[in-house]
Amino acid sequence: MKTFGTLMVLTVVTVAVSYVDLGTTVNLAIAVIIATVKASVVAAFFMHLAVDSRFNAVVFASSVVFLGIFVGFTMLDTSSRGLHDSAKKNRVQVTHGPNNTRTWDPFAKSPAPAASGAPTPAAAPAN
Amino acid sequence: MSAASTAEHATGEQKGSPEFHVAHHFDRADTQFDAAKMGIWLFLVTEILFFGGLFCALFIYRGWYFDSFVEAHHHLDKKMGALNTLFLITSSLTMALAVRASQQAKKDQTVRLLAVTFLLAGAFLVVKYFEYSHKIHDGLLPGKFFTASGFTTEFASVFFAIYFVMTGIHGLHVVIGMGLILWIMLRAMKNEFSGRYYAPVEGVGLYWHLVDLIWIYLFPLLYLVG
Repeated sequence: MKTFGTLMVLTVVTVAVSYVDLGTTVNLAIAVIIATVKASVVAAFFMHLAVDSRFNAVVFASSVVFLGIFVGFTMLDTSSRGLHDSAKKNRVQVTHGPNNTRTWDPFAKSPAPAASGAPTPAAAPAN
Repeated sequence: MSAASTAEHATGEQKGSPEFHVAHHFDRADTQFDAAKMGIWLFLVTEILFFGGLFCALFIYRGWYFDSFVEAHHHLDKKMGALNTLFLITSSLTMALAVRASQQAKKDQTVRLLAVTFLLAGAFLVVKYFEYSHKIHDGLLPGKFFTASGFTTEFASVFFAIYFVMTGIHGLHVVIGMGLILWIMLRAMKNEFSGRYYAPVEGVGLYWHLVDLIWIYLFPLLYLVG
């Protein structure tokens, strides 16, 4: 019955807090923390994890840990996509290595004619 | 069989469960019970992983379409959601009490508590029905079926897709749970459970607590935070 009372109180708290705006991240964190406390109470007392064989608790905890890694790393990835796109634009032009932005084709015409009249590769003769 | 039950009456301690026997590959009844419980927990882990994938989708879409999610979630009725939370938590209490009553071979109390659990689950589904019909009426539907107007953001359909899939599959688990509770209630009425044998009640109880657990996370993440 104490468990039930605790769960009721926590439900009231979580609904009440949702009416107060403390900024999105804080609201989300509070909601998740209260939900986790409620979940632990249900798991420990209603589901007898606190008094059962320790292995059952290990099984349950392992799924929670896995979910943490799954959701956590996914969010790390997806929330930082596009974060460094602007850095790409400012990148210095390089010709070597994996980030080279200029390629060199040995059979292409050189981009600009030399001012001193050095011989240019043969162009199509205009005859 | 009759020898076992007269031995039961001789000790005067436990009555009932005359049909129960330990399967040949277990050394004792306790081992059998522990194995059953562990099996149920492994199943619950698969359920947690299943819903975990859906929660991950919720977080990803929330990250991508944050403004739409915040605007859309205001269309969910917090009071109905809170009422559903109270229903489920109370049903968890009555379920836990029913498991204890079955362990003490108190047939009438077990059946009564299981019936109350069943009714509370039904009440949850009734509230859900009203919520869903209101949404359908307003055109707040998933994905391409979304026809509501008056939204300043454009991805509210994504929020409602997530909402309907997650609460729908959770509701399906509630219906399955009601079936299991009914099965156990019928078995309890036939005097099958006692201190010697109440594993099925315990197992259904664990499943039901998990359904409550999932709602404990679903309610704040969909209704309160958006």
